Amino acid sequence: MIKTYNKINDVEIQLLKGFIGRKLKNIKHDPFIFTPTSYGVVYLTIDDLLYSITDFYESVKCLDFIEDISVLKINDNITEVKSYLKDTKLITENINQTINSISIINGKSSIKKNNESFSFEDTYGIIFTLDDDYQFAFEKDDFGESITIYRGYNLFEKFKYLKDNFEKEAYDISLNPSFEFDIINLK
Amino acid sequence: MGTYKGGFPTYRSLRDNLDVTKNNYDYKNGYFGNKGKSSVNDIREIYSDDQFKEAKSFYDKITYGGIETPLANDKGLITKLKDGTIITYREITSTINSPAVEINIRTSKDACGIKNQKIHFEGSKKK
Repeated sequence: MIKTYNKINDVEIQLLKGFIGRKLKNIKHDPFIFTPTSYGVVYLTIDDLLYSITDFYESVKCLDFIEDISVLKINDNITEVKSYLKDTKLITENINQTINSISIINGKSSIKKNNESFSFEDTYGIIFTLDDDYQFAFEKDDFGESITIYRGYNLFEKFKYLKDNFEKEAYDISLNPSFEFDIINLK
Repeated sequence: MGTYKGGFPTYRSLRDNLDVTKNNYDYKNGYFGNKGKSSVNDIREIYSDDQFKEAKSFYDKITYGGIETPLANDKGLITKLKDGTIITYREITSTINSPAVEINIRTSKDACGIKNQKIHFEGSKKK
């Protein structure tokens, strides 16, 4: 079995754990034009500290190929707040709600090719559950570096397409493509 | 924050640009070009004598009438179409001399059968 990974790491998980019980004051993102997406970065103000979720390409070994794949990361020690689009001013969206739990949406995809098994584990998004179970979800982009921002309830539903997409579309059925979620719930 | 792309009087959707794009490039089952070297269906290849010119031409056809913004690092362009399709043109990728166009229909309300895909444009092997 050849295993490769593109998941949020333990340091980032600890950083996310530290968000629980604190107030998400606002998020900063590109203006939404036709789509609720921000290019490469969303900034989070939690209490009075600034963090970011980023999604930029890195050359990654994924199953049987190497390609530029976006990598979702959680960052602290932010020194500059800026859009990664030219001449674009970020907008601030006030939220002012407590972060009660966080779900990290990991998934494991696998194929079998020429008697060799490949697996790839990736982080596809992060869901923040706030007061009254209201949620914000940040989904990475497989075909670009945008982050899609969802809001509402039961936002894991937004990610369910990943399984069908991988198993029925991404690879020929002869390669036995399979996909399983591996969700980390932080409370 | 982005400029209107093209001379059309209204914003356009992916549907409006599909015919001209399909008429100029191989197209089958929602994908442009041919499957690349890996087994995955959504990484595609299109060959051309001038892959940089071809990639930009493809991008210009499929994004006509959208809102285009240059990436801050000057390495590409992103266009959003009215239906929510996002198309990115990247002149430089980690594959040497292989610009790419990415079609993301994740937030599209009318993808017309087009699938999410990344198309690498490669120097002439076959056309």
